[in-house]
Amino acid sequence: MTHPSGQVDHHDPAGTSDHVRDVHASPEFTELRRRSRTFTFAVGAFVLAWFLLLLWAVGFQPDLMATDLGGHITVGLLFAWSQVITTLAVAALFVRHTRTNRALVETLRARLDEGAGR
Amino acid sequence: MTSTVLAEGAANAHPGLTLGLFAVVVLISLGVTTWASRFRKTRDEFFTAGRGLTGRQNGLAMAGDSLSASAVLGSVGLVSLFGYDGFMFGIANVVAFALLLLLAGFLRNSGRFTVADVLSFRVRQRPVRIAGAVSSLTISIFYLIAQMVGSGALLSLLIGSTSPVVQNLSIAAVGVLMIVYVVFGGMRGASWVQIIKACVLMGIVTLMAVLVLVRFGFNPSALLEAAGQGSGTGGSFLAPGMQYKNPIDLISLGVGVSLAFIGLPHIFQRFYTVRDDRTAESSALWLLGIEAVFTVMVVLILGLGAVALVGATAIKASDPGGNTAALLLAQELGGGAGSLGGDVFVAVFAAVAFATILAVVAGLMVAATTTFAHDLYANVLRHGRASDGEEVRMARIAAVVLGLVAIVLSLFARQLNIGFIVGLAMSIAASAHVPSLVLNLFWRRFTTRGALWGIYGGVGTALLLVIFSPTVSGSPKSLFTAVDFHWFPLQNPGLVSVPAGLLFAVLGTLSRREQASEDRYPELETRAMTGAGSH
Repeated sequence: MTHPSGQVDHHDPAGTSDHVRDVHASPEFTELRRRSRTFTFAVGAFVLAWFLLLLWAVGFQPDLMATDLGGHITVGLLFAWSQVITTLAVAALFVRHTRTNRALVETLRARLDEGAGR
Repeated sequence: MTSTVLAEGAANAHPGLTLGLFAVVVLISLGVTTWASRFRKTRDEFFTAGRGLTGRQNGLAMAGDSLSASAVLGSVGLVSLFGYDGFMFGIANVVAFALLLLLAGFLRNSGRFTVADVLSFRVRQRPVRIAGAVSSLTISIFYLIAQMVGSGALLSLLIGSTSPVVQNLSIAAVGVLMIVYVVFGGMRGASWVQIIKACVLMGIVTLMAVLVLVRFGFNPSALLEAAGQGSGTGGSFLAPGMQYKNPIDLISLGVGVSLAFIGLPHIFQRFYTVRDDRTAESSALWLLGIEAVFTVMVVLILGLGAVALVGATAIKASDPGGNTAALLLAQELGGGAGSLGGDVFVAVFAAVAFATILAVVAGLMVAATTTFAHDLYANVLRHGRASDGEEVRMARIAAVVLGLVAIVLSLFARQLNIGFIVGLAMSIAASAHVPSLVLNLFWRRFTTRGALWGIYGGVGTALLLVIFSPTVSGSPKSLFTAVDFHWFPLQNPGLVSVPAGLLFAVLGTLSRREQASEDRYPELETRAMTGAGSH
């Protein structure tokens, strides 16, 4: 099954072409993979861990969470809000991360498309 | 569900006005469907709106998908009745969308229409596609039935009638409209109904939030003080522990919800309605931004506003589950029961809730028909040899058949207490799809067997734990109250079923090497990270 653009459709059992293998093994791609994985895993782990910490505190430290910091604003309320702030910070970091990598991604993409006969 | 207070005091005050606005909603949505039906329905057009949505449009549509009527009315109700605990569901959503953002580009690049497309990229097509299709259809149908049954209950609350005939008619009407939207409008129609609804919904709830803040002079402490008094519990209203007596249950819910959105088929498919990975990421950014504002500002302020201005007693008297809290608040903000402003505000809010139901079921049905036509019919039954036209025709047939099945199932399920079923669908998505999706992307060694064990193991564990949980038997709020065969202590299976799904996928992979899958990995990885060759 061949895609109209001429490239091999991913349902093709033939597997990865030599060209894709070469690009995959290139130092540029290795660098992109290192950056992408480090970012995705580190940030993903942080988001999950920070959220689990909130859930743990809600469940097991109810008195701490109910502490009134004045004007009925409790520790728990601030901790919950902080989750939203951190996800927005994650979004900002993500945008910066993709900007940093954009040139590298575009170079690699062009090289891959070239080899696919475009 | 009894609603005497609301029936006498709120929505029924001007049934003509409410029904008139409902008719306007139906007319607008049919207008959008007519417009969308003019686009020639190629496969890309039918399943993904021609991949032509912008990031902002798609982000709004995704936000619309996640802001179902039950989610919006439910979370305002939860905050108003349970205070802090009710707020946790909203926070879990925000966290979920941050995780979704991290994977958006990879998932956009490595797929075409469905979850099964991504999962079967490098492993043996048929078995994995069947597994992915079975889990996706299960999730979509469960979700759909929950929404339709909810719509029956909700519409009778909104119209102010508790008669079973009204509920049955509501379910049937919502189902028929859903079939019409999908058959004629496809993904484009469903998306624009969703986008318009998302804008109107956010507009009205933001207006309500501002009105609440005006009442309290923009002083959060005054609002919190009044909420504590209105709840009748005073200080403890803002302390954790009002809803979940077992802290592990809250953690389990949080784990399930925060991961589920990566694997929900109707959200997943939206990544393919845009041109490329960057637009998919921009959709996810819009979604996260909208949800962050919505959850913190709107749900929290409306929930607190409802308990402060209406009071917990009145909210519970209207609906013990709190689903009418937002409506009662609308009435209060409009000038109170019996006032013209109050009646108008309630009618408008009810019409928006109705639009929400219609838009969400249409999105769910698009996902279900895509899985049916693209995964099961074209790729499994016809071995990938069905033409694009045949695939679209099958999708339209599937929309009619699955739509009728959903209507019938919902009519039967109406008498049951199936509030847990959305949670079950989310748990299945988190347990069956997420581990395999992540391993497929990042683990070269991942295999066919790993995918199969992961998917079936995840579905099976989630289903089993829910069947033997207190949500199904052994408590007054269970599906079956007369019997007790529960042994699993938690209401939400996520804390156990997600690690189980991951473990199954890892063990399946380690149990036998699969060279072909490893050979195809460079193709997947280069595509996922650069977008080269993506559809």
